[in-house]
Amino acid sequence: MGIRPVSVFVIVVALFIALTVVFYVRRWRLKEQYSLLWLVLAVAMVVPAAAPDLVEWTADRLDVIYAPALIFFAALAVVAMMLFHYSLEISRLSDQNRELAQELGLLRARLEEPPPGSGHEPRREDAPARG
Amino acid sequence: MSEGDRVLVIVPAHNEAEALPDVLDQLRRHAPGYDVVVINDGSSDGTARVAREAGVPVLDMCFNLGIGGAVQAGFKYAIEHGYAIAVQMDADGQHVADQIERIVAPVRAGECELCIGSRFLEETGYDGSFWRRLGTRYLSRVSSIVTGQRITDATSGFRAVGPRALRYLAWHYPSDYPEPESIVLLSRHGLPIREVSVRMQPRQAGTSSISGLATFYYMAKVSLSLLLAVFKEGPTGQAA
Repeated sequence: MGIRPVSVFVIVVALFIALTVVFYVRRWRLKEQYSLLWLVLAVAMVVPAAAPDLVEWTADRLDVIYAPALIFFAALAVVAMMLFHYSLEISRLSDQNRELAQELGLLRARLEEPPPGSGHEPRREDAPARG
Repeated sequence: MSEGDRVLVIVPAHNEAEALPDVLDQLRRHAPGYDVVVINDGSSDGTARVAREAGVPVLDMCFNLGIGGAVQAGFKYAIEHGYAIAVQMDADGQHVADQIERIVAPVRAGECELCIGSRFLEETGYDGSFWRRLGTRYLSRVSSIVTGQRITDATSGFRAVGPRALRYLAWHYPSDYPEPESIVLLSRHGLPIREVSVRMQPRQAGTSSISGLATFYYMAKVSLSLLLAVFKEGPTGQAA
């Protein structure tokens, strides 16, 4: 069985993704952690393109009548998982962001406080109960 | 009042330079026993300047965190400075300084950890727009069901918290519209809640953070967080 044009196309796209990822890692704009995700995705694209029989075989096993549907399903599942992962990351980052802003405000306020015993303290404090 | 009973009034302010001086002036005159901190939540007007001119300490948030993040910064400040009780009060003049003692008293007496100043517990002559009232009633209803106790003004931002609630909320405080959700969270962690009737003023300046279509989005979002709050874990290793 000769290689089909569509397979060539998919492999070219996968290569393009891989090169793009390497390019951004080189420029320090993409963390290795995330680059791995995309590289795995690129490889995963190549598999069904290179071995269409494998897809047919799996579909047959799983009693899926239309084999390409299996690819769509797998792709959608991966994309959904990635999106969820990013939602988690965003939540974590926004929490950290908020904490940083609060901490910065607290520190700046402490700098503005007159030193203890300077004679013009507006409040009776400086016995902070830390922790 | 013993040293451990010091009360901090937290005034979160986002672009409230117009109303703030009067609010701080009222605080100085009608609530002189309380310390005040203004949280300047990324304002682009002179909010921080007018607060400093009034001689009040200011916490500057370097960008707008929203009401939840701002108030939580105040809670952290309160803990850092050894306050036992913290009061949250709006900067727009809606909350009245001479009413603070009413919401602080039950907390100081140890009757509750959260005391909400309610506009609707008794007829206080307060009337917002129809939709606002409806929204507040709806959220109060949901809060009542989830907490199993009657809540009449779940969205009131005029409230006092005691030492245990203070520790909990400094650790975790909801971000967007935190008032109703914090009621559920505190109640779920066994911290007693009370409401007292207070008199409020129509806002002097600025507009409400919620209006029109956004109200419905707000309602849906808050309803969801109220229900999810039931399942949220408490701080690990810290009994609430």
